[in-house]
Amino acid sequence: MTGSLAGVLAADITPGEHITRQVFGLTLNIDTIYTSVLAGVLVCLLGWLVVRQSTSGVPTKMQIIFEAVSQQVRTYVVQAVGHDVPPWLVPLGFALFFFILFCNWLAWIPSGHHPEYLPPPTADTNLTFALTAIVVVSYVYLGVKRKGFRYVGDWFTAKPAIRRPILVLEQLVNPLSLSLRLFGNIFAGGIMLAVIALLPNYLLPVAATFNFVWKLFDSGLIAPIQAFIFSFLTILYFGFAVEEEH
Amino acid sequence: MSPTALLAAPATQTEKTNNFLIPNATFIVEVLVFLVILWFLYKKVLPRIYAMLEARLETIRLQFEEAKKARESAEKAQKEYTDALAETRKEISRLREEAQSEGAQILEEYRQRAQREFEERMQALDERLATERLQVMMALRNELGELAFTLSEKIVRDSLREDERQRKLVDDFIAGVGATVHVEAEATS
Repeated sequence: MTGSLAGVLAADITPGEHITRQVFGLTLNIDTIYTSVLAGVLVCLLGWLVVRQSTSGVPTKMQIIFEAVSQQVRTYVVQAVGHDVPPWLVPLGFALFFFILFCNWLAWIPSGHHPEYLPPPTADTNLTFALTAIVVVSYVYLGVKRKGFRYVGDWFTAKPAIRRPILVLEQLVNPLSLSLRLFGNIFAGGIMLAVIALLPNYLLPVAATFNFVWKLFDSGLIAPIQAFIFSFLTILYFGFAVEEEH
Repeated sequence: MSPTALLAAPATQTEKTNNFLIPNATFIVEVLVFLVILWFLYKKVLPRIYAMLEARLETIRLQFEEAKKARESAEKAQKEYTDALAETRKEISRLREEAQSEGAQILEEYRQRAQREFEERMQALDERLATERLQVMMALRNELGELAFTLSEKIVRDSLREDERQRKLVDDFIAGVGATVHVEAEATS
């Protein structure tokens, strides 16, 4: 049985397998696109509802969550880049957190198809690379704006000298680890669900329990933790970009 | 292409990319999708959240200030009450001391007045006694003179025969009576 399971896993669970379409000669992962749009719409809809019901009196629970997250992001941002905070930076951290969280939560709804019709879009490197690209462009922009040519120059003049290659290497490793960490964790969550689904029929009650427990763990713990880590590291990289060498 | 058509796409349209680490055109779409979400949250959601937060903070600040003012007012009233109480106690103490002092003064005055009256009365009594004594002395002397006269008359009539002896007896008697009156007058004064 182990051999056959391994065979199925090898055949069915592979990264980069998506519903695709060719548009003007370009390949589009349609499932990633519409699930990310769905997550985005949900985030915006929730934001709109919170704003519509928002009050300066006793806030609703969702308003409390939105306020708490925005305040927490602001605190981290101020700690990282100081008090001269660009106005778009807190919204960036806030949007990353909620968008990634909702993307991750889509793993809760399996369609049972192969490939899944509603996969978490964060299990596609196209999305994680896209988010990372926005983050990298933003922190490089802020770093250059604050430090000018020293933003790059500092990498080569840092002391002790051993730090110099590490700093240069970080420019590649940080974005890669940021995007692949998110991708790996969410993709692994999907693999776990697939493995549970592959359990034989006579283990159906066990499989159903495993499925539920794993989803609870995945959505309740891993999804928010990964969303938090991505946002937090983003803010941290902004801090690295503007910090002065002493 | 509709979502239904997409979902109903045949398996042959799923594609396994050569390397999942190499992004395709989806990357550009995802960048745009996220930028739209970021714009919406940045422009439409967060400003309102911040405005509500600011308004709530302002309300809390005002309530805090009001509470602070109320506390200060209560503290001021408490201080005024304490001060008034202390002042009243001081006033009561002062009045008590004044009353005690006045009482002592009045007592002293009455005592002095009583002493003075006593002395005046005593003096008046002494004077009256002296006058009365003098009157008694005078009356006694007159009466004694009459008695002496009567006695001498008896003696003269009775014993003319012992002329010399009788005269001596009368003189001794008169001298004896005068000395007794003199001693009594000295004792009275």
